[in-house]
Amino acid sequence: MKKIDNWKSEFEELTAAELKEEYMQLFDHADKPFLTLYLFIFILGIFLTIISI
Amino acid sequence: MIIPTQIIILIAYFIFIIFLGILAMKKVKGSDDLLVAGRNLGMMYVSVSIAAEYMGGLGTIGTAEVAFNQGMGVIWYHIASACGLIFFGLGFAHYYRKYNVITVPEYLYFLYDIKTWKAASILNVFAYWLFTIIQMTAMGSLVASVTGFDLRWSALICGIGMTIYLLAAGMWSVAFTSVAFMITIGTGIPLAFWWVMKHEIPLLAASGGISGFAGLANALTSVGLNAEHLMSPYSLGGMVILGYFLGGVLGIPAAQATINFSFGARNWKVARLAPVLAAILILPLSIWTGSMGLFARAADLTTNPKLALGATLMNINPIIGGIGIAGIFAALVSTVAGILFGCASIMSKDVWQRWLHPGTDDKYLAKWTRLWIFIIGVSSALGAMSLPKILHQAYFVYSIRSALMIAVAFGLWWKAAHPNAAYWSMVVALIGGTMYQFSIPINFKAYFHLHIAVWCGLLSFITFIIISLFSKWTAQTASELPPTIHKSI
Repeated sequence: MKKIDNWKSEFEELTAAELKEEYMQLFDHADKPFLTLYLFIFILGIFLTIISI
Repeated sequence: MIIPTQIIILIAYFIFIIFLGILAMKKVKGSDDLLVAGRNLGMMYVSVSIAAEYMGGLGTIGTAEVAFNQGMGVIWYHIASACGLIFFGLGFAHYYRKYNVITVPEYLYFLYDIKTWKAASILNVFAYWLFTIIQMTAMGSLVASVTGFDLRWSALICGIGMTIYLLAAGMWSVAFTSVAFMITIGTGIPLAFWWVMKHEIPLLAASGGISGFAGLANALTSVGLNAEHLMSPYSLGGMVILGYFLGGVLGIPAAQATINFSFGARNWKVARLAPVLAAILILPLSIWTGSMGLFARAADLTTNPKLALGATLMNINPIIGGIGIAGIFAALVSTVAGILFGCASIMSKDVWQRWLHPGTDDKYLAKWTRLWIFIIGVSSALGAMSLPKILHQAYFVYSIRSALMIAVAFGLWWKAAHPNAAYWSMVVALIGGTMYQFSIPINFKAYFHLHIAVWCGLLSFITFIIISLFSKWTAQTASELPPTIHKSI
């Protein structure tokens, strides 16, 4: 039962209300280059596939 | 001695990756940084890490190996995998992230009880240990085909190299380097595919000077192969395609190595969307690698299917081939790192800290995580010298892992799900799957003709339903329930 108690306290601590509004954003400033990179890889892959087959 | 351009590009790329790994080391201050990157990964890191992890040895060397032997039906591998990632993202990721768990077995504790968590830990460690061996074999295959070294020794050296790389910074090193990996994979492999289809196939005497799949079909026919069958998307047969889908859809939502990164996401919204973005990126990969595998066969570049992709890349334009090899290498490194890390996470967090030594503090947990990375890494490198059949054995791992997903899904969505059912469905899948795969004591496949993923999925599904329906909730069951009691007793 001791182990369960450990889990319980840890669980309550972990799931305590944590979230601020800005913390719940999908994208932040660090993700801007990602969108460019993602679209570049995606479009390049599709383009090269179409012209190759 | 003249060193081929491809090897020079590969060495330069490897040095660059080591540099990124050293940069990542600065971010690790405790076990949370090591295990889940401080739960601070944004959309960029999570989605590209998932995609890069999934584009590993199976998705590159393994799919080329299957295409070399059985044709383009292998494209279903990534279609099924993408479906599995989308299913995980939309159906499961936010549950995992909201519970702040580090491992899948840990989540099963919150859904069921202690014995289920222990069974899940053992099943996961077994599956990922085997998976690490398979991926290190794939990595050795690439290095052997590029350098000409012995395949067994290449697998051993790659395995030990990967262990050292991961010992540096855990998840931060994987996430940090994943962006570089994704750029290399996403540009290197399609570029090599384009070059092969447009410039190499017309050079084959039997292609009739035609590029693309038409020229490849001519070349395959001229060497006495059934081109129509090999080029068909159904060349593997319905049962294998069904197995791919079951393996992908049932396997991914509980695949620690792949979904690990969602656990490290900044919030549950990122954890949910990132796998969907990753799924879109991985979708066309086996068209590229499968075509290059078939080219190796048509051009008679090798007789060993494991070396098909590497042989193709070594026999085309050295710059394009070098970039392609760097892409495959990136895919392999990211996957080996992900699964070795996933296995070590479960071993240190679930088995070591929670199960065997509950008093272990954060400082010692980080040390034990590194020790387990070392033990699993080195033993897997030695195991890789046995050269298992890559995609075939990987589906065995996917299949036994499907029992975990069945337990998670029922726990979330079926009120009657009983802890005994979760426990026994995993035990039955592990034992039954091993007996089926290795024909112990008889050749089951001769009687049932089922793909291993279908076999394991059915075993665990039926076991779960039957035991849940016939198990009663007792005082003993209640005493082992987790803090969040989700069942009305």
